[in-house]
Amino acid sequence: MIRIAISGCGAVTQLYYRPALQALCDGGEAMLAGALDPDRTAAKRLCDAFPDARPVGSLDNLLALDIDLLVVASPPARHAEQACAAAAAGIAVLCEKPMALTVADAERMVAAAKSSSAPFAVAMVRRFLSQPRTIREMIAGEALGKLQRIDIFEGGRFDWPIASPAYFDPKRGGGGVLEDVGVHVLDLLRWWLGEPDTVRFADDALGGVAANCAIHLGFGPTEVAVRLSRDWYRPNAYRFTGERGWLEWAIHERDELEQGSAGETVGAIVPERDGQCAAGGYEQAIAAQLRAMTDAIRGKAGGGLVSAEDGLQTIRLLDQCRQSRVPMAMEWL
Amino acid sequence: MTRIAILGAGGFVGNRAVEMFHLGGRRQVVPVVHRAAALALASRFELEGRVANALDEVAMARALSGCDAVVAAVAGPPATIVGMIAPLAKAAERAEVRRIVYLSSQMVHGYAPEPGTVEGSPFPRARQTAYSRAKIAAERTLRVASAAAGIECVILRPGIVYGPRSRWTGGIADDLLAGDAFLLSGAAGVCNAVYVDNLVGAIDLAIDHPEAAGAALFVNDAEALNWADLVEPIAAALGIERDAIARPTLAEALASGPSWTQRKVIPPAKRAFRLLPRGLAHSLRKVRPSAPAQADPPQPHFSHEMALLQSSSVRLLGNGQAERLLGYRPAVAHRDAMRRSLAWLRFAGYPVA
Repeated sequence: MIRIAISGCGAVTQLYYRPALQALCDGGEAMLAGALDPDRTAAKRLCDAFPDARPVGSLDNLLALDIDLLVVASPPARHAEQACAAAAAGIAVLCEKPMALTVADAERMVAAAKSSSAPFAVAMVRRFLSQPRTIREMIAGEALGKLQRIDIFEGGRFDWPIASPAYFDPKRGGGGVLEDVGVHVLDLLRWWLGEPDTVRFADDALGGVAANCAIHLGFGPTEVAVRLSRDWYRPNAYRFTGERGWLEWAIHERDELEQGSAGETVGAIVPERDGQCAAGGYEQAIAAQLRAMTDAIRGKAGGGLVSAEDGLQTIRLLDQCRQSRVPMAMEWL
Repeated sequence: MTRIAILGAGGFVGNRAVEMFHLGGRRQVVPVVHRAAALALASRFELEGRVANALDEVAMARALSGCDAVVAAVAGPPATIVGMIAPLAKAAERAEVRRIVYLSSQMVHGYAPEPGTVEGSPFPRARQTAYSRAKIAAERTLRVASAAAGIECVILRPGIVYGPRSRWTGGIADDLLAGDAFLLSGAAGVCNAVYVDNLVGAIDLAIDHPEAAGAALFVNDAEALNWADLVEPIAAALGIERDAIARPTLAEALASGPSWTQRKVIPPAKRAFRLLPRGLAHSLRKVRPSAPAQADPPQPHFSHEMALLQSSSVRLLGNGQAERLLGYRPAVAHRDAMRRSLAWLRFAGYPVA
């Protein structure tokens, strides 16, 4: 039985890891040994749902629980320190996104992962949704002909149940729309298309963290325009335009992918669930990712997991965005 | 420099007040929201946001500590609109806040007010909604509670507040794109509107002017506007011809159904397979049409609220109280306000030409 501990008992743990852990524990495949959070009440609340789990007050105490896997779901500023300590102790790591706040921290994590005998993965949960997998196959198979462009909009009022305003503290990191949603988008784009040749980035931060941003990327002949927003809803969609047709993923809104040609909708594709991925819900995708991690610990394939090296490339791209940052035009301001 | 708490800083007007006060540099801004996530917009600035439930007097007093005045721009259901007032007044007293500027609404005079309505006119019993009844109750409670607490209060009654992030700008664009926008036929279509920056300008004045204490003031743009002045510039920017905007009568608008037929005509799903590469089709569980074929033309869904508002024929000019007591003169002309609103629509991702 895989012994798991979790660092960070905030929203992602309460909403997603808790039911995923529950399913693994109910199936007798794993057990939660302990949890760590500066808010001891949150750690206790999580542990109360698992008979063998106990809240602890320090990372050292958590790693001393004879665990096989540490899920790092703490604030991003703590990821590198905690993940590296676990890896150094020979404990497998599943680290929530963003993997790290700086390229240097991510490189440190890669080094720790390489020197560890245990698996190390970055939790990029969208790769466990069925739609991105189908999109990847369709792009690789040139289902739309040569891919000309991708237009992405993800937005709406920010309603993630964060615990405190500290989430938005630039020093703690992770609080801006780029680090939150953008890291998912950049990871998927890299997964689908490889590394971009060109990067342009603009956001609306004015001394704090951005609520809106625009990213323009060039992947060879394919242009990508990404618009992320926390203040106004527009239909959330990934639209792929190729020589022979188009494909649309209405993320968060529909499970199906719509496909058509020359402006005409011809059908909706319901991507297959193959055991490694989940249609629609993030809850199922987190569970699939966690199961892949326990498989990897058992020496099985662990398909779909994002390696530390792969995660580092996304952090580098995130950093490129920040380095090329210009302010968004806001004439009304 | 005065320190101003802005309740409802995550909302449309509250957020704009945060932006203008902070960027203006004359005021120290304390954004106050009911949950931490609502600080997403205020956190674009280096500001200390505070979290407090508007119904919790103790938490609110902590949030208001050190502030000279509070701007109450909290949105919410009727129970919150009314229920927050007494705790707010007590919290302001505890925190030694000097003045509350409360954002009410011209809706307290009904969605189609009587001719001659001024700020002091009695609230009509007819033509009220749950929202406007709540605002009436909130105003009355505020007067009593603030007097008991020894706090000054100023009540501002804007009408339709438009501009960046307004439902009366973005929402109209959504309706236009969906084919649901309309201008009532046979109605005057008077729109008592104020551009959000002009409203924040009035709030700014209301924080300080001693003569305004206890007053309730209409806040409008300088121009006499109709609904067409809000809808048609947005339509033009979206490439929608003026003639393409529906012109139902009030009865027709109110009779429109709650949902509307999907417009797309979907050919057989099997055509989708032809676009897929060999070897991929087997990995798809199924391919099916997005929607059944529809022979009938689409039926628009007209907002009943919009229809009732457009039925108004009365301009709420008031009796110049805002100008006399605050020195309020709208700084942004409607033409410029629409230019800025269209710039925001482009920013927000609308297909503005």
